[in-house]
Amino acid sequence: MGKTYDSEKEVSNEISEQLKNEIFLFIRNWKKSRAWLMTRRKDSREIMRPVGSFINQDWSVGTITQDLHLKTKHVQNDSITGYLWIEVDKPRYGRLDFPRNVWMQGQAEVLEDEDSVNEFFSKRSAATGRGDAHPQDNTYKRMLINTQPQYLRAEGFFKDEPMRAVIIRDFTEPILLSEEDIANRLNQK
Amino acid sequence: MGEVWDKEKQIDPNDAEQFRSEILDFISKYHSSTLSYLLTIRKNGQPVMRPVSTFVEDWTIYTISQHHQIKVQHVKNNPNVGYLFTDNGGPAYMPLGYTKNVWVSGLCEISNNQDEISDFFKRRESVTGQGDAHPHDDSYTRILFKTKLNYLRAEGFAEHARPIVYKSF
Repeated sequence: MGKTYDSEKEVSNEISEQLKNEIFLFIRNWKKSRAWLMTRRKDSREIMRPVGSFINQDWSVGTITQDLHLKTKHVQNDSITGYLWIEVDKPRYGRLDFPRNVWMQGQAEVLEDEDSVNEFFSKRSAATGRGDAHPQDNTYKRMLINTQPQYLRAEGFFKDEPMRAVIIRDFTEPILLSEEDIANRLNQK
Repeated sequence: MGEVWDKEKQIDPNDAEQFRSEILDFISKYHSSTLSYLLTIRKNGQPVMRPVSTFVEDWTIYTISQHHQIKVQHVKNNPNVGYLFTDNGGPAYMPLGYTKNVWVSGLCEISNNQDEISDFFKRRESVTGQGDAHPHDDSYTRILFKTKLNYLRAEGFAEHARPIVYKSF
């Protein structure tokens, strides 16, 4: 296909499997990456905005929202969502000089019950130290957008040829690192 | 509605107009401090994004591709695309550390007219110094994406995290 195409084509399944933990840690590392959430408007066109996010070991991703936010309504109308994570303060890769980046597309549901929302905050707090920092008054109703991934595309992770995309399509196996392992690895980075 | 909401609600459309040239300037920075990512729609209707380079002229966004790239097939099947522009060097405007960012959606037209593409490279080189750096052999056929915008959402330009939305260009 030519040198340019070869330097950009998808990596093998074997390499993709080897890089799963690293990609998970990249998403989990909220201090070193920024997240944008894609939802679909009523007219079916996509829209993105910056959000906070937290990835669980089963690859599901949570974002806290409020009832009056448009993104909440979008997800309630159309469950297709996507996240783009972009690394900050790190060396760039490839001819185009980009920071590492991960796209994840999935299906989301909005969870409103207090137990689900509180469980999310507890897990996130234990893993990252970020608890519930939202206002504790009746102007703020917490809701959780919970996305189950279906497709993931990552660039900058295969060191030999960093422009080649890592694609993950199977999320049936959770990440097997313990929370302690994850914290230790993130602290080393 | 509450303090959080007040800091996140959309700017009044009339007030938003004052930011138009600043936002155009931001997305027009050719891969210096502004980075760009393209969203296309796969055959199954699900979206995918990847980093791309862009060149912007008067609210039309151009991206060069090759004939066998999957994103070309996506756009042929569905011309609805989106771009996310992020600021990779500026100050944060909110506690989570986010810097200026702009989302746009639009309709993309594909050109494989090599005269038009050659003219595009000349225009881009005269503005940015970046001409045609792609391989000059049979393995590489240049394709040009031309996207006309129909929606824009920008954060980090107005106060707090309040977005600016434009629907007319």
